[in-house]
Amino acid sequence: MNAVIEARGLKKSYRKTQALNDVSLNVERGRIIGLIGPNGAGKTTLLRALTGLLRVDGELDVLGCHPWSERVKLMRDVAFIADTATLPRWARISQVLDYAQAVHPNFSRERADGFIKQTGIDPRRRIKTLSKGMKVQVHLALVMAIDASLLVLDEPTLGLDILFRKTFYTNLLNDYFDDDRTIIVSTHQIEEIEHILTDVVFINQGQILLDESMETVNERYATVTVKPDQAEAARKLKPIQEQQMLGHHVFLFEDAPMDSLRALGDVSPTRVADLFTAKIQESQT
Amino acid sequence: MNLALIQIRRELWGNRGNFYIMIGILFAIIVLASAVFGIAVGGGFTPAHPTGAASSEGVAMLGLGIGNFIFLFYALGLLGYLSGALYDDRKDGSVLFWRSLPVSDTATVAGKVLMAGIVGPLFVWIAVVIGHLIALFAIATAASARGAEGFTVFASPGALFGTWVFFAYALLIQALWWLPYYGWLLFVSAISPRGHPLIWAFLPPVLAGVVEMIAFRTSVVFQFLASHLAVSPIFNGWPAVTINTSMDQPLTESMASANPLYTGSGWVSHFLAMPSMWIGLAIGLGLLALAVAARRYSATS
Repeated sequence: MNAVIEARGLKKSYRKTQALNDVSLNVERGRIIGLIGPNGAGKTTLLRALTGLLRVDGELDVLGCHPWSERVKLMRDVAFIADTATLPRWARISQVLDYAQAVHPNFSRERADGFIKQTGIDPRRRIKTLSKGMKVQVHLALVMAIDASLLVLDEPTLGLDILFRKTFYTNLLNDYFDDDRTIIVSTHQIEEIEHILTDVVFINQGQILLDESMETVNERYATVTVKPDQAEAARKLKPIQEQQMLGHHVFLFEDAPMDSLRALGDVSPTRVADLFTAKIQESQT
Repeated sequence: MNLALIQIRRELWGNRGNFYIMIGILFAIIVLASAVFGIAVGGGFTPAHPTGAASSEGVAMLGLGIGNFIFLFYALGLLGYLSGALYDDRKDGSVLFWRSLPVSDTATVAGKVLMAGIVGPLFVWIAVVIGHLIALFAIATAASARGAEGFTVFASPGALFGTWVFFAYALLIQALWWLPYYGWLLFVSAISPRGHPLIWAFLPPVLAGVVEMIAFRTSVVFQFLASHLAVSPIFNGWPAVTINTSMDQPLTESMASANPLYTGSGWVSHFLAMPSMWIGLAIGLGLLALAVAARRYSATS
């Protein structure tokens, strides 16, 4: 079995808000999934359900475990960074590593020490004395030292400057990711991670709007820049989005014949951010 | 075993400020008071008058003060520690980190109980033993300075060791006696929505007691609470550390009787035979189970 996550009909509501509304998802080993959605879309709820931090209705299997009832077993094989700084403020970095070393069967202290050394941060420092960027670096060093099959990242680079963000994802790819591991990451900064994703999942108001591999996205969606005199012809092919830019019309098409698109103008791959906007607008009409 | 040790280390790291400051103050007070007490007692002995002439009343008051102080310090320390034990990491968000590691909620809660029921008392025990030694050394030195054979007390340390072993036993019985409080405070700590959990710790039992008094004209809740708070295995044994120092005995006998809990041994064992001990244990375990269950939901909002 190659599925890392199998979710069917997940539901979760907070009083009147439906955080997850019949969410189904299949994730296979060796993928990097971008979970993308506006604030309050249900991303954090979904990620916490996957890591057993939150109880949801529906069928959910992560690495052969039911996350809520088998959290301890599951977390031996899953690493998680939440959307807020969660390392204990009072602890020294070395104490956090000591603790992880003592309780985690798949944690390598040697690797963790190596990653911390790379950051240049003194391991005797307390978490509360670190900047936000440093905290994220330390947390990433810690989770990269865990030999986990699934890494769940909830807005891991929120609030960091662009240098930290780039370093974060570069380290993740170079030092962590391989064909046996799976990463699921939620973020607002789509452009920055687009190139590393193998799959994208769009979520809004607790519902999945799109769940495709990047190959499929590139096959099914295309952006065409059209001169004004061709705009009407383009509209007949039922684009899912139209924008005007520098005197040109930019259309986004779904499942349109490529030959017809080429006849209209310049065809280019669709950016995930544009597709996301189009799908959100489509869902609201 | 390793899991228990790392959980305790984590608690010591996380509470180092409060914990070490409290232990430091406790040690300082015990050392100082024991030394003063020892000199006061030892100063009353002379070769001509092997019976003590020190003011027994003053010495008793001092001893009583130390015993009560340690007891209150210990109780308040536990109250502060347990009420924040499952609350602080929810407040600062680190509960998400702790629960992202393969450690069960039961192990987490058990670590807090171990800390309150074993590690805390162990430090109290060490403080008291050091206090005894200082007091006895001070008595012996002061008595020797007046020509009495003060150090004979160390020639037969059996009684002293017996006292310490018994005191450890009393502290364990105390921990069991307080289990319903540990359970309640940890439960409140795990569910307290906002504000300091101490408020939530006190309000419901007081309200329950008042409602019971109004509705049924009985006071079972208050009686149980009062019996488990005001009466305790170590509270009655502890002050005897000094009260029992009789001044009309020869020095060596007086030293042997300067043991804290010989008078309290029957008292402490008596707790194991009390139905309310076992009712309290059952309530305590039930509340701890609720605390574990509540902990599971602490990252849900």
